[in-house]
Parts: sequence; structure tokens; C-alpha cells
Amino acid sequence: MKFIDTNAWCGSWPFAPIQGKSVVHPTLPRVGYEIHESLVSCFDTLFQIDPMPGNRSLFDAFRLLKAFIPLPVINPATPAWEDHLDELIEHPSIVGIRLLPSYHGYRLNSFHVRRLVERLTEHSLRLVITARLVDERHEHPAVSIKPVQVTELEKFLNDYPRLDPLIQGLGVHELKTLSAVNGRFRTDTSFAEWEDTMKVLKRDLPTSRILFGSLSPLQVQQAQIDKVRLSSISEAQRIAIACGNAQTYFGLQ
Amino acid sequence: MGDGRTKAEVKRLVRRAQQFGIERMVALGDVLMYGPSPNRKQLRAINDETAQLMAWAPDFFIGFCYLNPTLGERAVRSEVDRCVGGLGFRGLKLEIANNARAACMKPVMQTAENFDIPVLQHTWSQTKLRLRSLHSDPDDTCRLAKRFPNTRVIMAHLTGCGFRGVLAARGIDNLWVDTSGATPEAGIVDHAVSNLGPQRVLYGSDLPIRDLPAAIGQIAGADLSANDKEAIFYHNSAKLLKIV
Repeated sequence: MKFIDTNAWCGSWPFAPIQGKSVVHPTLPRVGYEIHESLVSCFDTLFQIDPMPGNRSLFDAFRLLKAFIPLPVINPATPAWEDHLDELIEHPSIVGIRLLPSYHGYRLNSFHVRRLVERLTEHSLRLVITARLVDERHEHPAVSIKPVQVTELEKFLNDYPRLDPLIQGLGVHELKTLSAVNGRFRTDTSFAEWEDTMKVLKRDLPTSRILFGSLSPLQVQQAQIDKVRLSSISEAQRIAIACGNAQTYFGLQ
Repeated sequence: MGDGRTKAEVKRLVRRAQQFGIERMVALGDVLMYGPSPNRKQLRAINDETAQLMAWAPDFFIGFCYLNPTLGERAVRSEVDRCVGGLGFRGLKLEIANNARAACMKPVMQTAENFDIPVLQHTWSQTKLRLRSLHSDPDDTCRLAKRFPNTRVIMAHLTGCGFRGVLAARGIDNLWVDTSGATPEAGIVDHAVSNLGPQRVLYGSDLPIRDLPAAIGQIAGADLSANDKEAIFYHNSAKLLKIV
């Protein structure tokens, strides 16, 4: 089964002995197993106020590797974010940008996010919001990063009814709550888990709105693949979640 | 077992697990059904449900007797006699009725030693949760194992115990860790094998609140030898539970 990974990362991660330490010599995310394409963001954008050094190294590292599609990060809390966006838009491979409100310390209802949404819409770029990157119970003692709350996401979706963002890193209960009040979003598979996860998810969310995301290398890629591949839902639904929905959403070939 | 309360649901679950190569599964009971500190009647109802699972699939489920140590020595001994002595349960399960350091653990551990069965203690790092009066941190569970060296202790939830929990578990001959309990975070199973040895790590799924293929994939996809994976998936538990 062909997979498109919408939630892959590279660069340095300071809190665990995982592979993929260097964006210059990427060893992960790996195009092994059955991943055919990965949308990749760079860890180096997380803990620096200016995400552009990380974004630039991302584009440099994957310039010749077509299976990796850079998904750069914008930090709307920096005064230069519009210049950053202008620079990123020049890259022909760009399909969207990622926001990390919890890591960069802003709310989705900020003025700058409003302006950013306008600019993305103008350029037909997708918006990916990372609601959670690490289980908050397991964070390093030195950091305290809370996930984006469902109530904040709900308000954001209500404010932009035609945006249809991809919200990543939500658990099963959060997805159930959010989809009950506003279903105009896509999500990924990275943090959703229950016995036969896909079967449980589709009770509350159409399968067309679920995209595969591994959160590799923070999570074991094979485990994330098997969660979809070995689900009891129909083969057509599994294929859609594994790759079809991402192809359609991001306009990939 | 969450959704698995009917025979049909349980049979479906067993079939699905067997499809992925699971031969036996330890059933721990729906331990939070009545909150963190069930009374004797509630405890009995939870264990009866586990016994029902064993009756529906006797060659598949291995029951562990859920206990609330705060109910006191008499209640503990009576329920263990009923479940282990009478119903064929093969281990004890402890959740969040008390911290593993509490004095009320003594009769539990002595009873486990008398029956020669392991004790599985729910454990999660309290660095972020700060609920330590009832929850057991890895330090607490490791101390429990050291206090009772003749009783085999399973420290549940490797990912919740984290890298610090693995380091705390080093050099304790009567302690094992299981891999259940969270999304399949990378590096932690490898870290446990590297620090504790492959023979100290047990596969666990945390069904039904976790995905079975993902739980298996966390080990299958780890950077370990085939022999180490086989030990974690099967041999270590088979030896610990004396099912070979």
C-alpha cells in the first residue's frame, strides 16, 4: 500500500536519542516501508524565534529528493513573518505552511494569523496546524508546552469557514469533540489511537478528512503505518487515508 | 475491556488479535470502571468480568486479579484466594488506589509471593502529572520491587515511565517493564533493551484504549535484533507467566 506521510520531521531533536539528527545528512524520515512521499518540516524551526534558518536548510536538504516535500514553518509572532512568507512562496515545491502556536507562543485568534490566512488563501496554499507534537505528559521537565485546545480550534474554524485546514496531533476524544461542533477540517493519524483506530475515527469523521501522518522520527513509523494498513475498514478507505486524501488535499501528482 | 462486554465483541477481538499473531492475552479488568478506589463489591464485579472473559476464551485470556490494597489485608487475601486459588487467575493488577510505596502494599506483595505470581503495577512518570499520592512514579514501583525481592513486579507503561523510569529500573532482578500505554514513541523500547537487557521487556498493548497493530509495530519497528523482538513479544512473558 502506498503512503503519503503528511507529518514527517527532520533536523535536531534535543530530548530523545532518535535518528534524523541532521537536516544536512537526513537519515529520517526514511522512504522505506511503504512511504512514497513525505511532507517534511524541520525541528530546528521549533525552538528558535526565527524559523527561516530551519526552513532554508529544509529546502536545501531536499532540493534533489522529490519524495520529500518541504512543509516550512511560519511564526506569525515575529515581525518579519510576511517577508518570510514571501521568500517561501518563491519555492516552486511549496504546497502549504505549518503553524506551531504552542511552540511559538501565540493564539490562533491573533491579528497576524488573520492576515496570514488571507495571504495563504491568496496563494492557494494549505494551512497545517500542529496541535500537539509530543504527549504533554512526557515532555522534558525543562519545558511545558500545552497542546492547542479544542475550544481554540473550534473558534478558529468558525472564524474561517472556508479554510479547511489540516489539524495534526489530536487524540480520539479531541477529534470527536471538535468534529461534533465543526467538521470543516482535516486531521492526521499521528495521535489518534483506540482499538482499531480507523474504524473508531470514522464514526465521527468522514474518512475523506483523515490523512496519514506518522510523526516520524518522534514516533515509530512502522507502528503508524500498521495502524492504517491493518485496520478493519474497507481497502478503499485505507487507501484513501494512506495516500489518496493527501494527494487530493495538497494537489500532489 | 471497554467495548468488549458481549461474547460476540470479545470473540471478534480475539480473532483480530490472533490474526496478528497474538496467542495469549493478559486481561487486567476494567479497573477504573468504579473510579480509583473500588469497594469490595465493585472489585469483585470487575474480577468477575475478567473471569467471564477467561470462560469465553479459555485458551486465550490469562486473568490478573485486580486489587485495591487500601481495603486492607483481609479483603486482599480473600479476593486473591477467590480469584487465584479458585478461578485460576495468574497475577495481580494494581492501579491508582494508592502509591506503590504505601504500607498497605505489604500483604499484597506477600500474598503474591505465597502464590508465586507476578504483580503488575500501573506506573507513570509524575514529573508532569503530579498526582503522586495515588499514582506510582517509576521510582515508587522500583522501590516496591526492591522492598520485596521475592515477588516478581511488572512496571506497566514503558513510554509513560520514560527514559528516567528505565534508568531507575536498572539492576533490579525481580522487575520487568511492559511496552503498553501511549503512542509509539521512538527510541524508548531500544533504550529499555539497552539498559535493562531484552529479557526485562514485555510486550503490552493497553487494549482497548490503544491500537493493536500500532502496539505491535512499536516493537517490530524498533532498532532491535530479531531475537530481542521475539523475546519481548513472547518468550519473556511466557517464562514470567509460566505458560511454557
